[in-house]
Amino acid sequence: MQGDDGLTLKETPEGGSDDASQNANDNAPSTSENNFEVELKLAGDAEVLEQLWNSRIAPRGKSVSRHLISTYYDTPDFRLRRRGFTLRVRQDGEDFEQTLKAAAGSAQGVMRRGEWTVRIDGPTPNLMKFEDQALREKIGLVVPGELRPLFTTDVTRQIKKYRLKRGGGETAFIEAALDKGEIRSGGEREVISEIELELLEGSSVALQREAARIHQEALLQFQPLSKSERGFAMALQEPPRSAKAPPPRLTSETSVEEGLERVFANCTQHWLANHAAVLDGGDIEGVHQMRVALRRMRSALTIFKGVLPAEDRAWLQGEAKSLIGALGAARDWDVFDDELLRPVLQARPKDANLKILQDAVNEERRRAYDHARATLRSPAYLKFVLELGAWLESRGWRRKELQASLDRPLIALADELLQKRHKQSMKLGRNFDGLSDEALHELRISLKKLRYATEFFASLYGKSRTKAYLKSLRQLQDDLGHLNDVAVAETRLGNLCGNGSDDAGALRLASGSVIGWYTHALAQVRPRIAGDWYAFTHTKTFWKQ
Amino acid sequence: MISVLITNPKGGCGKTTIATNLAAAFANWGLKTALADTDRQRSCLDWLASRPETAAPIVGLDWSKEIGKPPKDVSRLVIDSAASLKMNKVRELVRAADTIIIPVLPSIFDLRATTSFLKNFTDLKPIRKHKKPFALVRNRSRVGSRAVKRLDGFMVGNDAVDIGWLTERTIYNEVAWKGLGVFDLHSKPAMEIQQDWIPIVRFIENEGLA
Repeated sequence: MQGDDGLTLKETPEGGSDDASQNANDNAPSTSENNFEVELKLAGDAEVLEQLWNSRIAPRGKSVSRHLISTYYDTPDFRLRRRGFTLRVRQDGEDFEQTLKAAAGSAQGVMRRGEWTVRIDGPTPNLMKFEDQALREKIGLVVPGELRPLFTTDVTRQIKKYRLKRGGGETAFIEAALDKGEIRSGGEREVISEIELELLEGSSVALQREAARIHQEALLQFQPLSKSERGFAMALQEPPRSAKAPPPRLTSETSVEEGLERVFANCTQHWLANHAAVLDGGDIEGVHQMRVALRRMRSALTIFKGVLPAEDRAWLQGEAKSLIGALGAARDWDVFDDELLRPVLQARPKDANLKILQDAVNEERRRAYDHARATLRSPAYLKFVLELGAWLESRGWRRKELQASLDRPLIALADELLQKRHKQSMKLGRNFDGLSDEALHELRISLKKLRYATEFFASLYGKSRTKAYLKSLRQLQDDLGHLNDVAVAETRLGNLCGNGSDDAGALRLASGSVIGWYTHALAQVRPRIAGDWYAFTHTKTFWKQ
Repeated sequence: MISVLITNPKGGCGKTTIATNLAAAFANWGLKTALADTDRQRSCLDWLASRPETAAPIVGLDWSKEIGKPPKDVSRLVIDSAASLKMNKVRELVRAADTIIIPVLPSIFDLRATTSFLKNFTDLKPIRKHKKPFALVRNRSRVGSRAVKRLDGFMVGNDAVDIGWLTERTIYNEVAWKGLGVFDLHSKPAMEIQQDWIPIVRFIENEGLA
């Protein structure tokens, strides 16, 4: 339903959002389903946004202004949220409407959600107004009077609607909104300053391109969180958490191209799902998982090497590598502090040098996180998010000469690749007991690539067939990862001690005791690692050779 | 589907009142609801028979002879167990349920009977292993009365979830004659009485989906 006040209200068709269809949407090449909202958000300084609004977003278009006050409700036990819904009552002048949104995960930085809106008589929400049977089944029973306000977003919104036309390209009808205001919860406040682009009609590629055009060199940030997500974080006092990736869903019917699409979409989701956690810094797994996601993406670039245009590969390789690098120091200091320094400190609580080292490490870590945050807030980062989104949506990898390879069944490619990587690791691990540190490092990298490939393709072969192999591979990789952590720590500590600080003497002593501690420990775990290696070499493989 | 069993072999503790009102609550919210009666006296089924056609529909299931299967599209199943049911029968019903609610009256006879029932009940494997959550609700209570205080003491020290109390109200009896529950009424006083049911609903909706 199209409100005459310039707001777009949508009803989802009956039963239109059952689990199966939502899952399908996660993987399907996206067209703009009429029951799912496709929108994109750019956050930035209020003045910069205002300027963009006047100069780059339909500059001659008419702007409608609205003061919108939205209050979000849930039961005291958060049943709506637990079932994936948010409920808000929006006041627009004298009118009230309530909207229920179903979370459906975000793909490629674009939010897709089911949404139901009805008008109500006053500020109190009334779920009985939602008449859709299937929807009520999903909400479950909520007794009238059970709902309580959680937080309020108070926004002055300007809206412009305009049509995009491109010669021979994608067209779209877009609603742009400039939002300024705040979120209030309890006694706390947070600023809202963002531009939201919503696709009313047409292709989401065009939406991505439009966002990239508006962004250009202006200082905008990627804002993956909706206002309600931010409000919930405030109301529940829940800092953002890190997220792991669910494996991409593949079947024996999947073609190379579908596989490529799902694997890259999966890596992108994995990456962006950790954006808020990295900025927050409270969950150290955030930086770790974002790096894992980007590493997985690089690994996928090699896996799909034969079907990706060289220039696309170079572009993605470069962007992913630079992001991994920007997060490297934060991760290294996290690992050092959490896994290496802490046990030594516990064993030697009175060691003053170790305390000096810890202070220095905390300082390094703080700097590293500042750098990571600045990277995530940089225009270049947002540009990459938008371009990658457009690349995925438009299947930017397609070239005539590669199409035949893209149409092959994925499983054939998976068989060849797994065999190749497995063989390579076996070769690198020959005479395991006599391997030098460098050779072990090389083996670790090779096993990591094998692991990512195995995890990507696991659903092609079925869980039961891949389980033992993956378990053995992960165990081995954890062991070798520990060796690597110590090696990385040694390098980082070397730099820390060499930076001419007044405490250099104390730092050297403390670093020496930590490294010495683990060098001795590692000498003892070497035999176990060797045992895990031999176990792995005897694990049954699962692909067709 | 979420299924809830209302059980306590002590007669007259309000199992049928709770079962019929819960079924009406689910049905009024638009959920496809079934009410299974295990009692040969057919109290629930009689209540359903007198239910007006205009009221939110509830499917009746006769489980007095044996435990059947609910229709496939049902999303809430309320099972009312008969009084003086043998423990092996209770065990079968527990198997069919996701959550269990045990009503208790604030009388010394009820407390004694319920105590001895709970001893055997908590020995059932799914209960002992915490596979099926169960809750106690004080029925026909008056807040602050001495009997209720005694009941509060009783609630302490077992694994049951305490889901508060249902206040004694004449309205339950009045509407039961017409095949209705308080959730079928939309008057202001009825809406207020519905608030009493929030802890019970919360228990079923949260535990049932867990």
